[in-house]
Amino acid sequence: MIQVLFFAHLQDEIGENQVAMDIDSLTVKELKERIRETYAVSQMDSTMVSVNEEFAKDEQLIQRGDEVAFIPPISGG
Amino acid sequence: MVERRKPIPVNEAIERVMQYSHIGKTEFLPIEEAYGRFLAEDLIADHDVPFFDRSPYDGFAIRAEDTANASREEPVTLNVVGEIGAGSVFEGTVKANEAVRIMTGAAIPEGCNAVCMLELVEEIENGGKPAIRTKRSYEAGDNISFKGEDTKKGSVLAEKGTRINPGIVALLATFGYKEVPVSTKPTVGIISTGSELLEIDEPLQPGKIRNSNAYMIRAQVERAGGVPIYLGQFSDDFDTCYQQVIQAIDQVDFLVTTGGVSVGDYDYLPAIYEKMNANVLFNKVGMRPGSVTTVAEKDGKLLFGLSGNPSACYVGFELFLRPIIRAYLHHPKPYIRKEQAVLGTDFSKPNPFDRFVRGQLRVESGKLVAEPAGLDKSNVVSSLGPANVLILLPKGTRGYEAGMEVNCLLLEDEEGTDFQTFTEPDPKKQKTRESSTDLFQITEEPIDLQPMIDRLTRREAGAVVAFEGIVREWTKGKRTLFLEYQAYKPMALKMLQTIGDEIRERWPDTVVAITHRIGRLEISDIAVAIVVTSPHRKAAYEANQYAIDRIKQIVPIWKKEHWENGEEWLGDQLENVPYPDGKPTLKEEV
Repeated sequence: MIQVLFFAHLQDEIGENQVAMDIDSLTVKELKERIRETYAVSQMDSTMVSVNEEFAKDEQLIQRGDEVAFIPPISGG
Repeated sequence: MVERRKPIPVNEAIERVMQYSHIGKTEFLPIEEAYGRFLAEDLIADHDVPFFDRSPYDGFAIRAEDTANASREEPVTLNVVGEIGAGSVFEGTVKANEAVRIMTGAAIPEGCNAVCMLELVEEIENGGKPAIRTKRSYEAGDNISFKGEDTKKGSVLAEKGTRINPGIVALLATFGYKEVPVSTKPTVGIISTGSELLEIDEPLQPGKIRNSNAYMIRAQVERAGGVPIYLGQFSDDFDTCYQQVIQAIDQVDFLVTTGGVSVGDYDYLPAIYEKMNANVLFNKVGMRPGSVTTVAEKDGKLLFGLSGNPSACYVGFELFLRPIIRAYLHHPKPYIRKEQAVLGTDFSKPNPFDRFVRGQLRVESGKLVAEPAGLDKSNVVSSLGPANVLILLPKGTRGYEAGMEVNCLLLEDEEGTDFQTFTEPDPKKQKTRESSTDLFQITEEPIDLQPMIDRLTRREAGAVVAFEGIVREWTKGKRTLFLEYQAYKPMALKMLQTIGDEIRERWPDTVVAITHRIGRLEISDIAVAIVVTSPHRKAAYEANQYAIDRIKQIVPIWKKEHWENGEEWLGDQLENVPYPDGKPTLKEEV
């Protein structure tokens, strides 16, 4: 199982703040595509991904047990 | 049926064992045999040292008042009326304008109250008799070692329980201890169990191993200060084993068995404890190695069931037997000394239990560095040889990285420590860990700047720069009603910590505290507060600005604007979207 967290506008669009996906492993890029297809999300290009609370690049492999978060452009401060 | 055992924490296990601690008897040994033993009584000075006023130099004992008017122009001449070597005394009293030649360590003659050093006087003849001439004046007490100056009669020079080293032997001799009161040594019986064990001189056979534990424990008993008594191996027959234990506990102060404590079919010890009606203090400890360590008590006598695995056996001994032996020897600090060191390599095994890793401690540029010594498995012998510490890795972390501070138990140390120090997780580290999480907060409560400033104010900080980010009503002609902030909290805290680390790297001695509020915020509420303290003003301003810039880059917090005519999640206020490779600019790329 991979836990996927959504924040800000993604959370509103998808209607969930987290989903569990029964996947063994895939890359960040593959997960992004899968999420875009599944939830018809508008803008993903500027969205970052973190794996286990660290920023991850597109080619990074996500594995069973990881916690992944989709991080839209941030606006703290 | 296999029984389920409940592990107890290491410190609690030690505490349970130490409830049965008792001190040994006192015996008197000739001083020649006292080295290496433990004092059973305080070593007390039975006289003043020095025992008489004496001269610390070669020179002349004089009456200071005779030299009162001495000067370069008008030196004073004193007649030398005698000579004293160390060990002899001057008969009679020294009179006005007289001096006595005196050697180092000799008693100051009556009438004298100062010594002038040999090289500071001119030796002359005065009317055919020896005399000295001095160009300087002296005051009473100059160059005299006074009676009792080193040690006053009745003072305690070494407390009971002190291990007698060569220096202590010197003190014992100085104060007349021809016979020295020392603790009797506790006897520790050792029984090994296991049909797989071969004696040292037997040829190796498949499926069998040489009995190393019994010999290792013998040496550990001796190192701790006890007398080991090897009672041989357990028989395969239960009743015989039972009889062996019953007989053994009468012969010794403590009994150790190795092996036979797990829950396998061939391990008799649990059944023996039950049959002899012993009180089992615990039979599982939350630690690795040595989790199956069992300690039982029968009529106040302790039976230690150590694991059959060499490393587990070793660790079990040092944690549970060493303190009980040292306490028996009157030692005030019976626990193994614990010191902080820096971990030299990564140790990435996950840690559901407190782990005691056999390690090597070395000094590197004045810092203690500890590294695991070889393979860390409980049945591994090879890492025992080079080990001089047990590296203590507390449970509950995902793994340890090189550079982290760890506690080490010093195996060859003689000083030891007390229970409180031994069990304290590590006051210094605890404090920094606490305060470093304190420094970075994500909160739903209103932000109070003053406690943040108070926390960071230091004597060496010459500058404090505090920033408050406030919810404003008007942005580019649009009116905000209220704001809503959301955070990916664990990661946000991690990133705030990262910013803190970056600042400390860029501006030495500069410390930052950041609190970000989330949830619904009204106009004029504080959304974020940043406090920086630094020795220098410039660094404090720059670091504060840097912190807010980095927050907008890497800390996963989002703001939703609720306007008069709608709402919107805001993105990247630095306007550097889209991220070219899906990432914000990170530290090394800035």
